[in-house]
Amino acid sequence: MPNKDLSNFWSSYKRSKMGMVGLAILILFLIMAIFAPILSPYHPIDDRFLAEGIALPAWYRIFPQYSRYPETMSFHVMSTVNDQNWDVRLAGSFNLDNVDPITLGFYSENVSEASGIAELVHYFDYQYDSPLSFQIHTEFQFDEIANTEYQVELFMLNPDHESFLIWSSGKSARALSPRELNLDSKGLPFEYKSKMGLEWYQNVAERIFTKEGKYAIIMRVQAEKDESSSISSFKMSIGSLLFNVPGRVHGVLGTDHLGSDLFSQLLYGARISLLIGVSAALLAVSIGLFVGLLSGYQSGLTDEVSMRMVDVLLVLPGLPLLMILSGLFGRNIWNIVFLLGILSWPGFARVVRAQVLQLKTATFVEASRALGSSNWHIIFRHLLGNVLPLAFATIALYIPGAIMTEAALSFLALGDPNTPSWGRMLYSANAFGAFQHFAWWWIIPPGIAITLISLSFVFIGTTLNEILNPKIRARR
Amino acid sequence: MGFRSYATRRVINTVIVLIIAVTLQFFIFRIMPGNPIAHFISPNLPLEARQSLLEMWGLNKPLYEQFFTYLYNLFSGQLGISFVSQRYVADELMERLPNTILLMGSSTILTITLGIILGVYAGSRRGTKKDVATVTFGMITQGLPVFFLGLLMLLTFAYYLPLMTNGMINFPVAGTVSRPPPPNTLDYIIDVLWHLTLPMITLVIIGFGGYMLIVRNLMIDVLAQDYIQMAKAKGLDPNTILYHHGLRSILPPISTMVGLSLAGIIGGAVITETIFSWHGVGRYLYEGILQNDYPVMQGTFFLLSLVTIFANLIVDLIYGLLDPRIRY
Repeated sequence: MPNKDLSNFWSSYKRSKMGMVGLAILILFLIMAIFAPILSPYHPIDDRFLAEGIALPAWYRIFPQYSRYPETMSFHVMSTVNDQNWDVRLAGSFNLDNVDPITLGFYSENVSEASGIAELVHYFDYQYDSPLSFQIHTEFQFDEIANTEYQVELFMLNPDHESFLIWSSGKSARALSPRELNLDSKGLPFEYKSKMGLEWYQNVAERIFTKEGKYAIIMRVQAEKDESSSISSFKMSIGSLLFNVPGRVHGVLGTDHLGSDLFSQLLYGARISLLIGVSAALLAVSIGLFVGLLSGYQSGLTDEVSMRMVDVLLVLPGLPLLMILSGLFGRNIWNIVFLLGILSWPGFARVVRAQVLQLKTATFVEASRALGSSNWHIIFRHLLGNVLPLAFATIALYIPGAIMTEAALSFLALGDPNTPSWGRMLYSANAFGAFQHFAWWWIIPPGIAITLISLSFVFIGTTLNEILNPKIRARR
Repeated sequence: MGFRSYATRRVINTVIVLIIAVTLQFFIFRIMPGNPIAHFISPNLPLEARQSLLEMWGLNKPLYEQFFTYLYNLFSGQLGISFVSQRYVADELMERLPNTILLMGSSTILTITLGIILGVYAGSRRGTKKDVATVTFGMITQGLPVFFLGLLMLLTFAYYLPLMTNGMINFPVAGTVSRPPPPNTLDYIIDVLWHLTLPMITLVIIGFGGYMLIVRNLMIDVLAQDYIQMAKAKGLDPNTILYHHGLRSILPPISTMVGLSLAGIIGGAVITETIFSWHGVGRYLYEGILQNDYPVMQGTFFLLSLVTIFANLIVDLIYGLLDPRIRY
């Protein structure tokens, strides 16, 4: 009765404190792996620039010195005139041709000089310490330009009523291309910085955002009639504007150097570790089982050849070999599983062989042979069944090794670069400045996760071994 | 069967293993996908140029002939010239080897000493709280990934500690020796030892747990033996019993364990050398892999396998000397 076996097995497993602890930890990681997309909305690698690179965890704001750090703040200013969007001020020959979307017109038929200024102003509140950077994305379209010289400029206004020029088209009489504008305060040319009184290495966002209060984005368009001609006209329409302040704090564990969510990476890492650990251990144990059964049963050349192979693989330094091979084979996750599998079977093959050598002479095998059973029948029916419990325990005990080795390869940047594994997290922490930022939350969680998941399998495997392999039980 | 025939068998076995390992290496670097030849002989080259390149490297000869040339070169120490630095791989290895021996040797000796002391301590107090605490500690440190512990050591001792002590205590972040190296020999040695501290402690913490657990279990078995009871009955000093009678009989299995764990120690040393930028063989291998420098990969891996294979032979021979039962 398999059902009864199972409940017997469970009742003896339950008695082991170590086994239950291991199981509990494993279930925790399984929940992390399965519900990763629910627990964290961000993709671990593809969602970049969620906040400033290497942002602090959001809960760091409970400490007074970080309490006013900004979280990511981002808003759209739609191209229309009202309180939430633009406030438009016109002077001279400018008029508003359209309100939604905003179209500015400048028209003059007189021979005398004509000029005008249009200002679009958007106010917003800012309640935090200064950010490290901000970005502006917007677009314009020039519908009509005749005999007119124009200039478009973007300013920021702070609560101290200082205004800062952050972009200028320069004076021009031709349509501007590209019409799309992507501004990053970190990439402002030096001439703008020097006008603000900054050196080339100083931070623009920190200069502008001096305190909490009301700030404004100002778009100023100036137009002037060309002297030589009689009729001049100019028409431009303005698209929506996106303003973004990357947070200096973000989420549960902050961000990495590219602004990706570290908590997501931690959650999704459980998937990679479990997947690689379990499949590599399954492969290694299957090979070990096959080789062990065959070489134990078929003494002679098969035995000799496979045991020498075992000697070689046991004695060669495994990690360096794996490092070299993963480079040659190409760094993808299934290649690594395959390599881990074919390099780690020898230990188990040796154990199985020793068991088979004993079982081979047992009376029930002799009897089966006397009844005319084929070799394969004996191997699969009698021998396999007897070593299978050992195989289950061994799988659990091989998983930690596979997990650790994969993590080591990823840590050395020799793993799959496109998978969010814990080893890769530690690699980027080491390579991209976790130390310089004292970002312990980038190093300790993945390290503890690797340690805990390995320990859980060691606990489970040891318990299984004690239950399923009576020999070990007797020795205790 | 005497020691001599046991030794002969071990030597023959070692030679077979060595031949298989070297052959395997030959094929890995020539047959596998993405082999280095493809990197360096572009299919766009004119036919004559390709031909002369192949001839220069002897790649147009039949495979078996290439194999014997390769064997001859390996065992005569001609490991080729690095693609990147244009220096002899053998020279570069010899330059780095002392550093690696210093790191691995010192950490292995400390690991074994600590493992034995704690193992005997726990084993002789079987079942007590001290025993449980020691065993748990050993299991946890053994389960720590070496790269994680390395990063933790760096974070704590090379970043946080200087920060908190205002730079009074300052562990080096990277390297084998300060740049520029101190001129005076004594200062030089102290400087190297200072750089050695963190990587060495990392390897010791990772390694001692395994020895401790084995020594503890062996000790428990030994302490239950009659001759120990006899020694106790004679009223001998407990420490003499533990270290003189007990430890002596478990030395042979410990020596095998050293041999068997050497491959793992080398793996750990490669990672540790990489983290701490230790100017050693492991880091050289890693740099070779990153730069696709295949003479470096091949030469370094050959050296590492040679070391593990011979270390295993030596350990087997010592085992045979220490424990006469094994010869039969």
